[in-house]
Amino acid sequence: MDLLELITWLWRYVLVIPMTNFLVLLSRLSFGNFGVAIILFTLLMRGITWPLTRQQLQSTRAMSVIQPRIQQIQKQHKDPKRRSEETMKVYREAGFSPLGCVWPMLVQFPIWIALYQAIQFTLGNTPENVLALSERLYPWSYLRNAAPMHEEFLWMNLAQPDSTLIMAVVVGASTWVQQRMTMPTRQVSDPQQQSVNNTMLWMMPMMFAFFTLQFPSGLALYWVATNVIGIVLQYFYQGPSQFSWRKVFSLSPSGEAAPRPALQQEAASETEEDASAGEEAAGPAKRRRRRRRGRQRRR
Amino acid sequence: MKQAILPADAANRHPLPRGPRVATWALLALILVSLAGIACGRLAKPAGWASPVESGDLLLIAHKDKLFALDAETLAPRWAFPSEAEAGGDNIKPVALYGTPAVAGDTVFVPAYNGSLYALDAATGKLRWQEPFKTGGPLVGGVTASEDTVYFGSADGKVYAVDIDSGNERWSTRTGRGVWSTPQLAGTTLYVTSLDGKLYALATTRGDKLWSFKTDAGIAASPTVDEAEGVIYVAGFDSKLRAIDLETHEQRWSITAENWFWGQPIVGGGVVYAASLDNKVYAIDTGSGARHWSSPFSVGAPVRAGLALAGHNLIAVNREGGMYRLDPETGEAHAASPLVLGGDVLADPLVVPGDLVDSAHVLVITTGGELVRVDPTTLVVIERQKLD
Repeated sequence: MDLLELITWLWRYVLVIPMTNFLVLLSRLSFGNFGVAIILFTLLMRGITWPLTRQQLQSTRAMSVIQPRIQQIQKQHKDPKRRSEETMKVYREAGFSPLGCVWPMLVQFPIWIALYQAIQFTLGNTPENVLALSERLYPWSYLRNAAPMHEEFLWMNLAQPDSTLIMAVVVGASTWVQQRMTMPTRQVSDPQQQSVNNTMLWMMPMMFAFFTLQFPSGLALYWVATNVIGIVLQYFYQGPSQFSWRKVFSLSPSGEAAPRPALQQEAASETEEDASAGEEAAGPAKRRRRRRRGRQRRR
Repeated sequence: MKQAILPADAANRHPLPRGPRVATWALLALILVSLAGIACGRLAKPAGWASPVESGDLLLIAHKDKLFALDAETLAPRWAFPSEAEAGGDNIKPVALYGTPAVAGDTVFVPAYNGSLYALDAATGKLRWQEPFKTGGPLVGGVTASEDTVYFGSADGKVYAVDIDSGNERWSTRTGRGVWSTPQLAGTTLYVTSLDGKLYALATTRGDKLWSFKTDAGIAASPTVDEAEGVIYVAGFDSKLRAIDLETHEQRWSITAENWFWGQPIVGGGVVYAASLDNKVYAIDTGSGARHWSSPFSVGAPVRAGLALAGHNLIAVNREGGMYRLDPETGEAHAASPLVLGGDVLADPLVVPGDLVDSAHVLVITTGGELVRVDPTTLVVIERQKLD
């Protein structure tokens, strides 16, 4: 068995087929409702990947805290080498790992593809697809008797793309909100960086909305469910008192209006405070104290 | 979805954390390429597996979305449906043909996966009705014809009775889910199985439900009525072959396989034969429900197609195109190895009777569109013809 065959075998027998059977099992447990099975599956997946999600949320928050210092370093040091050293120093002090943000997604990514295939195998409503399902189900009558699955959920046929555009809009909107919630909350000074942020903020939701039009709506349901769970987690992790929906839905890319010149000085002083606090990843009490001092100074 | 972190990461444009930046963009590229790849994959398209039909000197063979009418003797083509002009001009798109066509008088009835039933002139292949009869779901099962009515089920969950001459609906009766099987007519009762797991007995006059029998899972195989024994055999996705009494509507016996039954059971000489997707062929005594063979015969691959009895030979064709010739009495293979047909087979084989007992031949259509004529007594290929 060469490497490719091994990967194919592992993909099929370790990921896709168990996932297919698990979905069928969840569907039977939810009285044949495959939509509910997908939502339950999403909840379980988010539960399993919670340590990774938490790590990502921590990284996001740490990134938010150290952002002003990074910007300061970029302004202060023209030499790229020095700038990098200083940046890495800040990362180390804050306990922030940029790769820590990426690899939780790497774990999720195969799950999407495997889920896509599992939905295809499970809900494929052509006779050939149903025939193929017989070879993929474990020899347990509780599972085998479930076929063919009920593909209707709400207004959707979960095996087909949603023709009403509703799911495309919901997927796009929920992706945007989740993305917006995890973006840095402070204004990025570099216009080029700002442009990248803007592009990413709009490109990903549009891309997923577009793919919703191509994919079975069962996968779109998974995306919506995982986004909604992500938004809820982000909301509670950030703390309801720290969270502002207004900031999220502000069209300003950073979530705050661009600072007016008169206020820039104050903002800079606040930024300095944040920067000094970044390395200690300030606790809520300290943050409150700093905010109070800032307000007193402004008065 | 955790792609939201990407902008924050990408925003830090400084040379040293290049690794993370490259990883982020590589990940984004991977997402795009993979999603595009998946989008191109789409759902598998229906291909069809309608069985061949012989009627007089006409042989009807379906392949994918086309029905070919051939001369039964010479296999010379007579007409095809839809013709080039119909497929283009009249925009007839059957999508795929799964259900076995039926011939009544000089009309051929073709159930198509696009949900329409077409009536064709058997001599010319021209459309008989002004419009095809349209249903609300794909037609996967075949058509049963009586003198003046055709009966068929649709994936929309209904069983339809349609007037042969006018193409108008006489009645329709709803079942719990889609109907993928061919209704069976016995006297004034129509028996039909449904994916809701039930066998229905309907009155042919108005489609009233006379009685029903619930199994443990969906049923895609057509039932087989054994009027001599007074039973109907039903094989389904609960991996069970059941004999249901036509009088009491109770189950007489059942046997369990290791996977689904999809092919229609056949009856001969007091034995019912059924092949399962568990790679085995079963033979059961109709009266007692006892196994007729010491053990089921293994054909090495799942069997979707039904079995065929040709004289003293039981013909089984597995999904991979391996054709077996078994002794119906003992369940032993007449040859050590199967005939390899050279393509997957999902359609039921057709036994074309000859003038003498052992002069019949078997026709099989592969998924690749090759029609193979086989001598069932020797398993020698008599003729092959590619349909296109």
